Amino acid sequence: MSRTWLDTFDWRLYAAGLALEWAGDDAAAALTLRLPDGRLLRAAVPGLSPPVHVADLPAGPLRDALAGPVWPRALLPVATVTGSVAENRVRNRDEKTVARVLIDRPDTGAGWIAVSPLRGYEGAAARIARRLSRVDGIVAATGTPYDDALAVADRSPNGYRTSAVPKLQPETPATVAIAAILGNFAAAMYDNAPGVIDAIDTEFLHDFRVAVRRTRSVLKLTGDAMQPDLIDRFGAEFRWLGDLTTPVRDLDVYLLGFPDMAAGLTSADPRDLEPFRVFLRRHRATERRRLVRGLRSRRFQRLMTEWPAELAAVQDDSGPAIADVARRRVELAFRRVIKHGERITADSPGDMVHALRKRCKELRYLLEVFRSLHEPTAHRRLVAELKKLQDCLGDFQDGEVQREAVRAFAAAMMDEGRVPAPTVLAMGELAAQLDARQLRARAELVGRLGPFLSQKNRARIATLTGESR
Amino acid sequence: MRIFATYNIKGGVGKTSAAVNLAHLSGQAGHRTLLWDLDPQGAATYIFRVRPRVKGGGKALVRGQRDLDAAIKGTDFDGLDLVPADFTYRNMDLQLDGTKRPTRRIRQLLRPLDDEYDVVFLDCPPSISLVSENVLHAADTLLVPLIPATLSVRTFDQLANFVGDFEGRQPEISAFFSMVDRRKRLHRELVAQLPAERSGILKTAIPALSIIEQMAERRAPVTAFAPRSAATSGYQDLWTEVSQNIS
Repeated sequence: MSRTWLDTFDWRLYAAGLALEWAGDDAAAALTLRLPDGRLLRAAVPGLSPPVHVADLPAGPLRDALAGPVWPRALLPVATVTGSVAENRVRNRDEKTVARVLIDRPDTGAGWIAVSPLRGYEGAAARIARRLSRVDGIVAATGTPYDDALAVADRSPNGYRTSAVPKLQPETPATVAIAAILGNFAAAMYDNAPGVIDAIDTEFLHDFRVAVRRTRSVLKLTGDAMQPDLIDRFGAEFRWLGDLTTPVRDLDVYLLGFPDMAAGLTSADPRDLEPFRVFLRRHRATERRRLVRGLRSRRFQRLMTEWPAELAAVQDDSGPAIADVARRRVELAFRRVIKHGERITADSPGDMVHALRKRCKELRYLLEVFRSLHEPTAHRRLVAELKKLQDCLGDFQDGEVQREAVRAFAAAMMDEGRVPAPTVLAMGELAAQLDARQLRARAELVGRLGPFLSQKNRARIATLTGESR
Repeated sequence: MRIFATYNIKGGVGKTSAAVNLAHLSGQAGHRTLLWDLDPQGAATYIFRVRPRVKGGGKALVRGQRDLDAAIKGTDFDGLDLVPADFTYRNMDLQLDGTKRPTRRIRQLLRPLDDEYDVVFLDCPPSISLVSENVLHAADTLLVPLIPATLSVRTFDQLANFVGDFEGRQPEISAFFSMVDRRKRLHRELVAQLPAERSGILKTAIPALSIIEQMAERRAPVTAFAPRSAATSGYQDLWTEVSQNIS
């Protein structure tokens, strides 16, 4: 028989100390989830076929235990082992099982014997294990069969590449450090593209876009430290990728947030919004076809070959060290936020608020990229203050953008015809709620700006960048 | 945690059979299930091949000298554990009488297990006593097996009135016909009529079948040793009816 362990692409179960095993023939297939305390949850899953979405699993404790860590990702096979597994039971005089002895013989690698006690019969299991350990050739295990399977699997938790920034050394030449940062983002794009094309789950596109966005920001904010033609040659390509992926992600955000959006209605019935959901899905399908065409194009393939090669060829140019570049860029970005922020009042027009949001984003990217060069406490406190301000600015802008989008969707649905009146009314209520959200954010904004523009924060910037660590 | 109790003032009506088989089906469905055999006769304990002994007896549990947790035994079936019966449970009434809130003690004992089990079955001894009153207060759902006879219906009404007088939380009463003999006209008539006339009576009726009696001989739930039998299909239907909204 074969056993396959499943996890999300970004190893969420592994990170949570969970192991999900799928075994048995089609009709008799079962999932077994091992919890961190060793307890097992099981569910019959006849006809299961990965990728598996939690919502498609039978209701019960196993699904409940998976839902939190996994949503909205899908479960994919990570390692498969073929071999035989036999369960033997040790019984007492009443023919009552007191322990289970699992003998696991994989076709390759070492075999396993696992003694599982039954609750209330722990003494019996301990005696059996002691006796087995005296048998020649049996040694106490330090891992699990899953660890063994992972050791020879194609994917491994350590091999997962995110858009995280590598740890930087202050004295590294800026060109080399920035190329390493961009190289990480390129790897994340490369790894996530197949999952986007195969429509495995929405987070492949999300992670892909994070890598694209970070690449564009780093190019924009620090690209001039690199060879001059780099931005000219690749800037337009990443803008194209950003534009290519935006429509589907926007629709994903609406669809993922749909249950909350519908539940938030107070006047309209949430079911009235169903035609809106159908409309969003249909448009997503159209936009996805365009996205997939783009990701299968020669233009994208060429970018994924030429860009990493270009970064790999970057050499030490005896220019400034990364710590110097980081200090200058963070200080400049902070000064820009201060300049824009000080002009904002409770009545400032939306454009000024949006401009401040963009400057805040730039500062945030730089802080994240250069985090490993910063004094940790000052960095943490500054990011925490910035995040609060950004949340408020985000609510302000999202309120506006989404309200306009809901209106545009309603207009498009009317143009297509056959949209029921209750749906249009429910969408009107949604737009009104988004409007109220923007007004709340505006009321909060000036209060949020005060702490961020304070002398204390200005001093933090000095601590952060004053000396290279 | 959802607590079911199988209860009837009369004995020999299929209480233990229902508790044992429904608990087995609950475990099979993936719910972490606990069956507490409160009947000193220990029929459910015997069926699961567990020794009818709890350290310190019922007294240590009632007085809080031992946690219920320490008395739990794993059964041979995935997802199903058992608190065995103990012959000292026959004195539980007296022991309960000496506690602070004598009618709420069983619920208190179960509370620490709230996160550990999704479903609990209490197999209650027949009679009206402090033990049964405890069970009525602890349960979310009372599963009441009824033999199709006029007197059974009267007993059901008495129980509904008794529970209806509880202050505060009251368990839901779900009665079902048990040991139904289709050859008897009265059985057929009552099974057909009563659910329409009275609320709280489930659609599923458990037939009188010799295979159910074989549980004591086979020492296993009928749902385990005869999964394709008419008896299993009856308990399966009953479980489907009562297991809505278990999280």
